[in-house]
Amino acid sequence: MKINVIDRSGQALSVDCESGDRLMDVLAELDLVEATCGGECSCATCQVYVDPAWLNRLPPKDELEVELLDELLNTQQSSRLACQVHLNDELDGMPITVAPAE
Amino acid sequence: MTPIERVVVIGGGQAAVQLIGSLRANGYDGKIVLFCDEDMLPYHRPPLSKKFLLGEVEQDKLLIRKAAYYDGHHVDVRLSCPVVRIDATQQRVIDADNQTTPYDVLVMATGGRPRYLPLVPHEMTGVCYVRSYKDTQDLRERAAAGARVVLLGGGYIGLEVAASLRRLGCEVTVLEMQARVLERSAAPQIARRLVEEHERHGSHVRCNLGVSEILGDAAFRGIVTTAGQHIDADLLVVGIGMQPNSALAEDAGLACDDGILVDAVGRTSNPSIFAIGDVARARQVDGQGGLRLESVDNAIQSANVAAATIAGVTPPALTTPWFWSDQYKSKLQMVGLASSGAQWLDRVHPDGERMSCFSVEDGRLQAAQCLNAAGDFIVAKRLIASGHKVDPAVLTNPSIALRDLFTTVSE
Repeated sequence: MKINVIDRSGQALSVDCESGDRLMDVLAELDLVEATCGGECSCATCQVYVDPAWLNRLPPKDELEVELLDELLNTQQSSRLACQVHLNDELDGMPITVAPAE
Repeated sequence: MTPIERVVVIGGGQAAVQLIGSLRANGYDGKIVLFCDEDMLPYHRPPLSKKFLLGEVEQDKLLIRKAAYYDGHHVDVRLSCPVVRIDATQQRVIDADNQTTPYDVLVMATGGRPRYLPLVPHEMTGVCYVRSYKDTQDLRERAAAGARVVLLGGGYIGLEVAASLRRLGCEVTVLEMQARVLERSAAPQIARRLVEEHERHGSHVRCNLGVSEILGDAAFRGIVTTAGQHIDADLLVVGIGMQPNSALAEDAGLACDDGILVDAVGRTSNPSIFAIGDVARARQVDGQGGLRLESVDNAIQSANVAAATIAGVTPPALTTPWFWSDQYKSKLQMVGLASSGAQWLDRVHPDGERMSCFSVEDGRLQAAQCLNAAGDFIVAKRLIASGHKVDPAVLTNPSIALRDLFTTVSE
């Protein structure tokens, strides 16, 4: 499967990944996010904007993710932390944009 | 200046990986050779005391980057290949296979090793440390449900391991030499909350207490405390801090003082050698600096600064240091460094579960420690970075949003 990523420089990339991968790991492997805490929902450096049409295919945010996103300045309605998004076949082709570093 | 064509990196941790990525991102296209002592590609260490110990994360998921990353970045990775000597005059390193590798720039990312407990007889079984994935595998194999564990050291690693072992069904007693846990690093109110959580889960936390005698011959079977009390146990876990791996640097004549001394861009006393991550200590300038930070954030920031410098571009500005610790369901996030003896202001949220502590100096936020209060942490980070004036009455009043500090107090 693939996801379609727009990185922080505005470049579009089609990225190969597998069902079961965590989105953060896929992006970190390409140095597209810092992911300082390694996926513990502590640093909020892996924020992405998900294409709104795909949002309802993602599991809902838990309390901690909501709390972090609420206080970041650069969030949008479609913001998610990539460490909380596990990929599956339903997400094949999902367009996302990496949020700028805060 | 002669062009840099060969960068050699010693050490396979977070700092080394970040340096490699950052060198390439900054346009460095020469050779990179990475020497790792361990047999595994660089991996995340924070899970070693938590999810990896609990068995919730597989070994291959610990990797910071997959093998393909190193190929893609044209890095010559030498696993299980410790460097045994640095020849700083000839600018080359000699590894355990007696191979010589020349460098134009050498980067020491050698990290640290656990501080050992001298009382423990050599080769005694049942005594564990937690620094490498093998340490954690060894501990997990020994930590059967019902095992009685004495955990020496009430620091972050010690408390995280204590929480994980308790969840695995061990009987856990934590001994701390100081008057309280996290004496040097956490606000007393935060430390108290964490201790309460450990005790609620059935562990014992005892302070002002050390080990005066180790019981057992070939196998560990207990301790005598400094108060003379016998504690029978099956396992001893020692978490009394780490020591920087600076022996190679010292032998090469680099200036060291509990770590390799570096300037603001990570350069050691030898201009061709840099040091980053846990092993590096900032040289004191006008009484400032002098710190050696053991954290993922510091590994990443120091690597980025050194990499930019090596690649000949302007290094990024440093951001406020931050740390985190997860114990049971509690998440502690800390940002900024408080002065020793700092007074902490409490912000206790109405649910009683979430709390933040703030240290204010000259009307500005210096440090924040947020327990299950991730939103406070995000705002505090921004408040510290901006140097915005803060009103203590707002900090301590959970019914006013922290973010309002940006609008209620003028600069």
